[in-house]
Formats: sequence, C-alpha cells, structure tokens
Amino acid sequence: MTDTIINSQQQSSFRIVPAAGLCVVGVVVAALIVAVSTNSLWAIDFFHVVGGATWTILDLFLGFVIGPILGKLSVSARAEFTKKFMPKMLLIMPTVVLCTLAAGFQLARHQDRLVANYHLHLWLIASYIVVAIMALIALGILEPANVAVLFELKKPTPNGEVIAKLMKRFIYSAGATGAMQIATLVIMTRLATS
Amino acid sequence: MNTDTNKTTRNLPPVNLLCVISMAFVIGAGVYMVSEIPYAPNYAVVFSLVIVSLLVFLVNVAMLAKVSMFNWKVFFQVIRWTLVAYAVISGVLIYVFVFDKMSSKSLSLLIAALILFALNVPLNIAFTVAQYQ
Repeated sequence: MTDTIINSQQQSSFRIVPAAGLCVVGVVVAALIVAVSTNSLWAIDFFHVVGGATWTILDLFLGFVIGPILGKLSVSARAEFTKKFMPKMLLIMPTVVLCTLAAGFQLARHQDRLVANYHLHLWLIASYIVVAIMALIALGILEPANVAVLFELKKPTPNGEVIAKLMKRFIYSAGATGAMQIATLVIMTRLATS
Repeated sequence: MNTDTNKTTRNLPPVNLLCVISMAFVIGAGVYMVSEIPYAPNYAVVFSLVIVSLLVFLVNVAMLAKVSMFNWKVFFQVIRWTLVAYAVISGVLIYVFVFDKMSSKSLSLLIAALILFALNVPLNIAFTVAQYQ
C-alpha cells in the first residue's frame, strides 16, 4: 500500500547531517588543499585514485546492488535503512567527488595531459562529458530526493507515499549513475595504460 | 484525504527542471573551457553559456518568489546550510584554478560558472525539501 503512513514509533531522532562526520570531511578537504598546494604528485595521485575508486564503487554498488534490493523492500524497511544510510552518503559523496575532480585536474595538468595535442585528448573530453552528465543526475535528481526523504522521515508521521515516490527517483538515478560509472572505468583504464 | 500528497501535486513552478537546465549550461561552459586548454577558448561561446545559465536561474528565482503557499521556513533552513556546503566545494575548485595561474579571463568565467553552480544546487535541494513540507 503506497499511501501507508509509517508508524510514528518508527520515527527516531536522527541527524540529517552527522556532526562527527563533518569533522572528518573538514580534515579530508584540508588534506586535499595541502596536496594541491604542495604539488606532490603522490598526494595528488592518492586523492584522485582513492576518491575516484570510492566514487565509482559506491555508485556501482548503489545502482546495481543496493538500489534493486531497496526497490523490493517495504516502505517501512526502506525508511529504516534510509535513516541510517543516507545521512552518511550526504557527507561521503560530495567529499569523494570533490577530491576526485580537484586532484584529477591537478594530476592531468602535472602529467601534461590537459593539453589539446595529447594523443588521448578525446578520451579526456569524453571523461569530462561523462562526469558532467553524472553531476547533473546526482545534483539535479538524486541528492535533492535524498535530502527530502530524510526531512520526511524527521516528521512525527512520515508519509509513506512521499517516501516511496522520492525513493523511486533515488533508485532510478542511482542506477543511471552506476551505468555511467562503467563508461568512467573504460575511459580511466584507457588513460592510465596509455 | 492525504494532505501531504496534495501538497506535492499543487501548482508549483518547475524549479527542479530549471535548476538542472541552468546547471547544464554552466557545466557545459566548464567542460568546453577545460577541453580547450592550453589554448584560449572562444570566450563568446563561454560567456553566452554563462549568461543563459544566469538568465534561467533568475527566471527560476522570480517564479519561485511568486509562490505564496510554500514552506519558506524550511526552504531557508535548507538553502542556508547547502549554500555553505557548496561554497566550500566551489571555493576549493576556485583555489585549484587560481593555483594553476589560469588566465584572468578564463578564471573570471570559471568563477562565474562555479558561483552559478553553487547557487543552483542549494536552490534545487531546498525547493525539493520544502515542497513536501
């Protein structure tokens, strides 16, 4: 039943943005700035590889493993999972995306791969386009739905229909970004082995 | 009668769609500029993309401002904090471009694009949250 009103007893006091996580994000962003400002190839590569791997794996796992499972759960089970999972994702995803993009740009510049006469320049442009599409899906559809679900769950009587509608949006957009990450893997392995 | 569901189906301007369109123009401008490095991009193209994005954003804000039955309290609560978050994200990216000594013309356009990006994302998130309140 889609318009099930989730039992108010299931609603718990959770934080939409975990305060402890913000400290971790602050440390990671500070370390990223240090890596860029010191121009250390190892540090830049570390942030790009770790950030990129985390981003890709999370998107693939969400899109093809967690998403389909969530789609088959009852609205109350989805709500319970979401309350514990989404606040963490709100901090993790923007941080890993920032690390990947900022460090990736620096890495490409460091290795003279940003230049237009680089022999795989078209592959690089393809990666920009893939990232652009993923950013539009993630920031235009996925993240707003994610935050809206959390706000709905904070209500004394969350509306199951609203949660189901927003979660459907989340599941489909996670699947789309997961599929785009396959393109990222193809492009990045091609660039790394050139 | 489910009042929450009615709230989601009432007549609201297409804020989400316009945010995505505005973001698409600035992201397009950014992709084009970066793909032209080390050569100067066609600034007229980049400028046009940024201006169109700005216009879409302003139309979006104007349409939203006319909405009367809306939970502005929640909207401003959400937009305040998301603006802080995306200001940090955009700030780090601007730092990278400044650090790389990008030409002042390219840098100004990239900063303008990043500011528009940092305004559109919070607007989109805050609107999505507030429309269900």
